[in-house]
Amino acid sequence: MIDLPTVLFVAFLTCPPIILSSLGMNVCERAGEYNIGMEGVMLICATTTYVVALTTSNLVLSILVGPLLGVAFGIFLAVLQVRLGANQAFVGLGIFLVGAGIDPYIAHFLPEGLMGRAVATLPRLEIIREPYWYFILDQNVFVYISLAAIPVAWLLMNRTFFGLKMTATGENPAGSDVVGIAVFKTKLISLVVSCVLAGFAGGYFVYGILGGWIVGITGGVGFLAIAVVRIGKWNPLLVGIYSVILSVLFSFQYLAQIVFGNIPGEFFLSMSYLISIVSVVLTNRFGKSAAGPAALGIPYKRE
Amino acid sequence: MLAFLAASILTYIAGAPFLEFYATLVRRGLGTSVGIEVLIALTTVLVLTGLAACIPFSASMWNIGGEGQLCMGGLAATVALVALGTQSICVIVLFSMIAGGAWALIPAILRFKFRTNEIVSTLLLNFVAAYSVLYATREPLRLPQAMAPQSPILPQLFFIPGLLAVLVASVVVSYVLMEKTRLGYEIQVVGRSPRAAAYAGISMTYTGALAMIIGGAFAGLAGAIIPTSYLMSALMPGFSSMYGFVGMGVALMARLRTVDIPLNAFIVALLFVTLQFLHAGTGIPLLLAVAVVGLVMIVVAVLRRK
Repeated sequence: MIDLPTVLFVAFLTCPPIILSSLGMNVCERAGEYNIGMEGVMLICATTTYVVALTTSNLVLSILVGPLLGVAFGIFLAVLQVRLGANQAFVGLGIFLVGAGIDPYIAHFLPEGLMGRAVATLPRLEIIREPYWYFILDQNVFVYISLAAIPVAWLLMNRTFFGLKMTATGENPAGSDVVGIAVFKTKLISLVVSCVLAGFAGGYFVYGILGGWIVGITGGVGFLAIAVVRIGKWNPLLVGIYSVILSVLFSFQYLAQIVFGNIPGEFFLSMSYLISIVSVVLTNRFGKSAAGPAALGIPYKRE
Repeated sequence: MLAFLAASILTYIAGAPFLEFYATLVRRGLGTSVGIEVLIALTTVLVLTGLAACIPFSASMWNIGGEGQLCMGGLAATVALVALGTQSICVIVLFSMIAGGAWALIPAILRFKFRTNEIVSTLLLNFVAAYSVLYATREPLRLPQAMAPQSPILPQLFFIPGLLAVLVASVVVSYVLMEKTRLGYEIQVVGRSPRAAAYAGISMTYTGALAMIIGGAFAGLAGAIIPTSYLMSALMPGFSSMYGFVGMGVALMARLRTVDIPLNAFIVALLFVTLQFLHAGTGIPLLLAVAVVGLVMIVVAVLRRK
């Protein structure tokens, strides 16, 4: 039977991808770089994770492969968007299309019979198995890590020198350059961090949630992250909190379907996206300073 | 542009013998009547989604919602066919264009009334539209005896002459619109230099919203054509193999010039059709064509930088 603790259990089990991808999006947008292709990066990482998990049956290895790919993507994006100054929206969409298109293609290379087989998932910590509070105290270690990542991200972005440099390159790259900040290096690191987080987020779908793989496994979370960052006004604390709320909203569809039996599930799925749009609108309407990093999406070229 | 596509096709070698790709392309894609039919239908669809991206892009409205507008157009056409029982092409065209245009109007309103980035709203509305199609084909419009959710079989309304007529008409209309009318000129001014537009007294809101609506209407029409031509015989979830997104690649490859869109749409359609035949033979996933378009998009984005 589906009751409230079960719904919350699902919500917390499924929150790491939303939290990690939103924080990743927050990092690179603070440095003035879009990462619209994050969904594509997540898809490729998820599929590769599945392939590695199947072929090696090694959980640690399959966890590491996503972030490793993420490093490669981060460098690739930095070269294209920062060094070559290509249109960030088009590069991002291109990466999304590559990700969406290549994702069944990677699976095509799997040996006969391996496809569709289940892979190991992360063990639960079992701090407490009591029937009510288990929703938060009986999760896998990734859930706690991603929840802990929210304040850590805030500290790193707002209370360290690197965070300051990052924000500076996002607000005024030319000025940062003049005062001696290595703009390319700073943006490169931000994009790599962003894509590494996307790698974890994508992989988690395989080893954290499904224990398997389907086409289009990430279901638009990488796009939702773009909205979440705007609702949270580029503040990692707010972004993190909103990610958790969104995850709960997503999970509520199961409960709501039981309570209001005749309302179709698609309605609640659509609602999560609509609520995100409306929240962005409301943030812009009533928020005090809704403007993001001043140089977001504008390629910087040294004069 | 041709060279890029040829080069990107090379990425494809991994899946099948290299020459087989071209053999299939010539023999099946261009050599059979089925191939030609699908090719023309797909070219038309991609011209429409290409225009759906091109016209708003020209006004610096980043309409990434072509996919959603296409879904809503397809849905509206199916509703008209199944629920209202009409057979008239005019009604279908009208319904789908209104649905697509209306769906594109939402992000325009959000942008100009509520200062909400249209990239975000169009992206997320894609999902809402896709879920609407899923719902419609699962419940009210469902064909009961089918295993997977799909609408009843739709009559084929668009044959080769009709498709060609739509193709030519859409290109001519958009060319005249963009190059010969005041609105098209204003769209380009707004896109190239918002400040100049403001000095000239051109309304950003009005022009941008109109560009979005026109783009959405084209995408909606594409949505109506897919299930009523050679491509599909019914509306089903995922009835568009990301054609709305691929349209953006087409627009970009055509450097946002309406006259160049048909050729680029044709090339991409040829790629899709060839892969479709190869898919039947070797099981190589069809979506690979989407990945190739994505690669081309990245290459074009790098080459076209200012």
